[in-house]
Amino acid sequence: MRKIAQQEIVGFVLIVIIVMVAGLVFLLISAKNSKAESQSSDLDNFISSILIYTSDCAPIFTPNYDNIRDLIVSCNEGSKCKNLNKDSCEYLNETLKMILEDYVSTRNDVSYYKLEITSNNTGEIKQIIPPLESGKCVGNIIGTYEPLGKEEINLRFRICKED
Amino acid sequence: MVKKAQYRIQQMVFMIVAVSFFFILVGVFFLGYQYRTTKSSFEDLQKEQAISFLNVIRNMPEFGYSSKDSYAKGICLDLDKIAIVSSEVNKFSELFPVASIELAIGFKPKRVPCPGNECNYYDVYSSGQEGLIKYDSFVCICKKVSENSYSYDKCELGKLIIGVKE
Repeated sequence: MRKIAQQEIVGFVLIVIIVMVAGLVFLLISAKNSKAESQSSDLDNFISSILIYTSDCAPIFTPNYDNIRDLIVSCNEGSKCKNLNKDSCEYLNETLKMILEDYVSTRNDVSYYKLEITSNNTGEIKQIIPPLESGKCVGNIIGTYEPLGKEEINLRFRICKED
Repeated sequence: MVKKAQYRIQQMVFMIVAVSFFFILVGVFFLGYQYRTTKSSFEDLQKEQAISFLNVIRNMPEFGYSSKDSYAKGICLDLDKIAIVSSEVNKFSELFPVASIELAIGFKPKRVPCPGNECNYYDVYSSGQEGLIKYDSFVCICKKVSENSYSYDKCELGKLIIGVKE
């Protein structure tokens, strides 16, 4: 009688273990699918377009306005927007924030964004401007990475998109 | 003895049915999940294909911006060309691989059709078809501007919107 009871317990434990393993595998697959960062040509187009956007900042003379790509370099070099009498980094920060807020307002499924601009010319990674981020990440992570080709400056933009 | 054997068989059958039912439930849940994922991938692929159409349009010489700035080349649209094409659209209808093309300049939700004062929207091409699915992608829109005898490229952000038949 005791042996039968032991067999029953072993059988029950086996079933529980099988179910737990199946559940764990399923959870792992789900987690892997949802958290992997993917790419999107929409995001690539957005970042490429931002970099060419002509700003109102002219560090040398008016109307030789910087586009965002040049403005990032100006900020890294510590230049000023002479025509606006403003620090180029401050202006870059304001302009990018405005563009990103406009971007989010036209993409209802974007729950979160983060833009980082870093330079690596001295051997250590330095944030050119504080990272711009907003929202809470819900859904799939989509990212893009753009090396600017000048002074080892890199731009990384990530969004979370709800399904 | 026979009764005990019957009881054991009953117990085993109950367990097999319960375990099978459980795996069927898991299977249904898994298939539902896979269906949703596949459907979402299909929609993403459709969108990616539409965006590749957008890239084709952006690279067409009838729309593309030629600039000394190598970065703007092949990425941006020429606002002057857009203005000409949208006014002469019937001559170009065979060129387009899509059913409609629109261009919105800036992010303002209110669209003011061009040509006009402070306009921000071009209805570049419309085949007149109904029931279109619309996709959009960000583009830069450039034009040559002259200021104090100095000419430069002024580029803005905008959205290129295409319509494809469902």
